[in-house]
Amino acid sequence: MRALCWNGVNDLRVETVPDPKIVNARDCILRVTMSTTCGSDLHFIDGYLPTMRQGDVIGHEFMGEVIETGHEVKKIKIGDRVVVPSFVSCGDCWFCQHDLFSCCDNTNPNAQMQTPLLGYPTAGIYGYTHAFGGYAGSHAQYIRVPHADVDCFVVPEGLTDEQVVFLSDAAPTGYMGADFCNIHPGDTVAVWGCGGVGLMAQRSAYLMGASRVIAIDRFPERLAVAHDRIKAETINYAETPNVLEALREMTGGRGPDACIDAVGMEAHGTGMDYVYDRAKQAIRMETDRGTALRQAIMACRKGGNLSILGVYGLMDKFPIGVIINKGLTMRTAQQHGQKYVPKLLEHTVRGELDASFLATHRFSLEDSPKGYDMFKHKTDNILRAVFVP
Amino acid sequence: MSDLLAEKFGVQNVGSLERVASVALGSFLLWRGIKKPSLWSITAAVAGTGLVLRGATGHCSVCEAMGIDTSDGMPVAAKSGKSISPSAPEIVSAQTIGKSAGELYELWRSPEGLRQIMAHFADVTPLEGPTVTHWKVKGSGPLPVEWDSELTVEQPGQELGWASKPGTMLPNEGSVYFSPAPADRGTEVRVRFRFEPPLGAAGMAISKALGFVPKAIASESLRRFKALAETGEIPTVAGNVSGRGVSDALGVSHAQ
Ligand SMILES: NC(=O)c1ccc[n+]([C@@H]2O[C@H](COP(=O)([O-])OP(=O)(O)OC[C@H]3O[C@@H](n4cnc5c(N)ncnc54)[C@H](O)[C@@H]3O)[C@@H](O)[C@H]2O)c1
Ligand SMILES: [Zn+2]
Ligand SMILES: [Zn+2]
Repeated sequence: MRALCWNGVNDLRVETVPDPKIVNARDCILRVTMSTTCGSDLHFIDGYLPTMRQGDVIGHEFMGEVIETGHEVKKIKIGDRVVVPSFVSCGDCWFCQHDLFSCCDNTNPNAQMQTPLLGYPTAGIYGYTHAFGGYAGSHAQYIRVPHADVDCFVVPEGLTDEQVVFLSDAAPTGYMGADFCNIHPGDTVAVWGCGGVGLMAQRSAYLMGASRVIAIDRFPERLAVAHDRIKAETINYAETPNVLEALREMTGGRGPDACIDAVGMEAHGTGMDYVYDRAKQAIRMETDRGTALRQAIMACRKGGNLSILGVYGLMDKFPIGVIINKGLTMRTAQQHGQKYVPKLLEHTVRGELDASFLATHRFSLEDSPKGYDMFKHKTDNILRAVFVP
Repeated sequence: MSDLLAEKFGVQNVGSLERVASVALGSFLLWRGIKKPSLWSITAAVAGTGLVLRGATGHCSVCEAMGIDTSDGMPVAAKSGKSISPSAPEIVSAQTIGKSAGELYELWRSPEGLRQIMAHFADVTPLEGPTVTHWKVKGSGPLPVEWDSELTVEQPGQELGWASKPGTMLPNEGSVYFSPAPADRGTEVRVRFRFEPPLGAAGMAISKALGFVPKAIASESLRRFKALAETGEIPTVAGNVSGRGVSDALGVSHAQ
């Protein structure tokens, strides 16, 4: 089959690789019908995440049609049209049974490699480094999905691939981020980042009853989407000399009740601390640029909720004192997709959520490197590139 | 240079001849681990780095860490294993598994269960039912490392103990203990084992430094045991596809 392979920093190529096969009894094989880029991929494309290997098939946000099932697969049938969360979860361990699906104990075959980094291993992910399991990714014609009955969600009739594919990652991540904010009527939620994840977090905050949502980014076209589609108020941080002051002013001096970071380790910035982070990251002394996260921590009202969705490594200069003194509640996770996908499908069927607007650019699998190039450089008003193998 | 390193990593506690040997062995393990990745060679490569450092600095933190490892509340060593000297390193590992102690005991004791649990490290075949098994370490090359192992303790739902029969180059003994975990968490499982390294004192020094190769094997065995008990299968990227072809050298759980 054809698949998009990582061959080194900023070196993606479509290659011919073997077709995947059923290995374990709970596996199924999907024919991928749509797969999309995620901001998380940029972190290893740019070389900030270790344990990628030349030839790895990438991609972790996808949907498809079931073409083969292992003999222990009971619910999922050949021919089912399904969407699959990015994390492989077993459904049986204590973590899965407590809705902590991305912390699953039984799906990372390279647990020994990850334990020294994190203390305990997490679930595996498709197409996302060997420390996270080394499973082949979804930018391919076919993909092996373990624990099919737990990880495949059948798509209701009448929805398009564009409406469904982001329910694999961007939507459950954003929804989880809003869920972490414990939103009450009257709450103002500020969201850093207007990529797929940030926009989904903004929409979810409204679905959960937020009175106001404030979106922060620097790309006018992304801010326009937040404003026009999501009905968020917006701040362009590149044009606003003092984002904190602006937020304080907008909230009558209280600050946002909850702040969501949907930016991550490659945050762009304008101030002195950005120069400091950029320099350290360039010489690999630290892996993170923390501009957005530090700003979110400062901006949050006392006793408020801080929800971190952006992916980070080991950041230094992390202002824990601000969190302590203001009594913030910090919640974060890799997305527990299996908990949220059924709800998100319901919202989509009822017309309350339509993520299809994220699919601004459509490519064949052969052209996927071009899609990543545009996604990385945010050209032509791109939000997400989707690939149709 | 080495003084600087010594300052950074602690005072010297390794003699000079041993330091040369450490660097040599460490460099070899590192080289092999990078050339041909597998669980064995990767963990060995990590250990190799440790050995190079240990040689360069004259300090071995693994030796220290090993001391701590052996002291954490494990039941006293099983009665067997007379052939093993008291100073042989002891490896321990723990895992909480969401099944009853009785079920876990039966799974470990069953030849098919044990075969799957250990498949990343050894081929285990039953000789006399579950009581006597033959172990052959995987990838041990032209000089196969193998032994017959006999169950020495069988306390249903509590403890299984085993020891190698005489006549192996790697005498070893070990046990697995089952105790209830709090609330809905299932059963706490602890494995401990000791082995007598070949080549006497020199072998002992080396295998102490390599302590976490066996440690990784033990903790991987428990992870496999847990996955098998909870889900009926062991996670694997065997047969994984990539631009490198089929299968993945880094996948530690090729065999099922
Ligand atoms: N927790 C999870 O499970 C999970 C899942 C998916 C993605 N993520 C992470 O979420 C983050 C966003 O993903 P995405 O797909 O939306 O990526 P993206 O690259 O499309 O969007 C990131 C956005 O952040 C903006 N940004 C950069 N610096 C900023 C700053 N200082 N202030 C405000 N905005 C800033 C960028 O302009 C961009 O629009 C990434 O770090 C990704 O790794 C996490
Ligand atoms: Zn993602
Ligand atoms: Zn699980």
